[in-house]
Amino acid sequence: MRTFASKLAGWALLAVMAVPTTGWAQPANKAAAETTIPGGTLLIISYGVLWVGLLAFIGYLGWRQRQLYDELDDLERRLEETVDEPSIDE
Amino acid sequence: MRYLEQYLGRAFPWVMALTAAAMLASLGLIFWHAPVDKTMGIVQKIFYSHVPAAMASYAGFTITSVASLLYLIKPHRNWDIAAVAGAQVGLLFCAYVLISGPLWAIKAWGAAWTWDPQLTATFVLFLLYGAYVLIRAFSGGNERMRKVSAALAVIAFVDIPIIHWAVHQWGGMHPVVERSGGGGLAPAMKTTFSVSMFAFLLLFVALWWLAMRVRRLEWRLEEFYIDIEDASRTR
Repeated sequence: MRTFASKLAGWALLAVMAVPTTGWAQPANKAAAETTIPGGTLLIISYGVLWVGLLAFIGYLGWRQRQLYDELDDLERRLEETVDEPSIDE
Repeated sequence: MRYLEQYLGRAFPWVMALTAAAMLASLGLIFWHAPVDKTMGIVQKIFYSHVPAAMASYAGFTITSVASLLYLIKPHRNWDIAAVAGAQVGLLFCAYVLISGPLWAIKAWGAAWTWDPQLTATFVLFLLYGAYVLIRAFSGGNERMRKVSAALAVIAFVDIPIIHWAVHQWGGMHPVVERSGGGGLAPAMKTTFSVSMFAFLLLFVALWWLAMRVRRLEWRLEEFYIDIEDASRTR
């Protein structure tokens, strides 16, 4: 199992090192290269990602805050009940 | 500290309103005021969110590193809260930089990704602070892990000046125009860029404050659990 894991890690490392030589990373002198994707589409995707990311983060924080307030209320209630209950010694 | 918190708490709705107004103003300027770049075309307008987002991520990670250092010197929980919140918000902006950059590069450079020094260093920064956030998310309330992650945050800070100087030291494809005071920008572009920077700064402050509020609530909850345990033990 360990041999398989080390082989897998080795192949993964090789793959990462090979990335710059593959077609994914093109030579740097392509400033004027024409792509089929229009610039406007790329711009809209970029700003779309920004707003979706921001709203998702704010939504997550809001949800987490509500969850924590609910848990705090519940705990406060339980703590009050524990304090109000007569102890065994009494 | 409590007075400062109360004061900031009262100012927070105003900061949120100002942030929303600044973001709307920057969007208006980006799409209707700033001219279309002659060489790159409309895709150049990504610049107005890409660079301010990078600055916001640096701000977040700087807060994390400074607060982590202070936490290591004097382990007060407020430093820890500020550090984690800074890393979360910084990571959000850094992720956006790593998405918007390749989208811009497809058109400008002809390739989504090249192992450009500044790009690679930014990716390393994302991994370092990503590791910090993951450690904090999965280590629970362990004091030792808090200190280990604080040390990681202090070490990771070294990457920020490396990103800044990468293009000067090793070249690469990133332009240096934004670092030389925006001298290469047309006046309309400069105005739009300044408003955008201000809007992102406010946005960063608002998000950081919100994230800190959540962390503080988590802390209160932890303390409550300890109180309940103590109360049940003494009975």
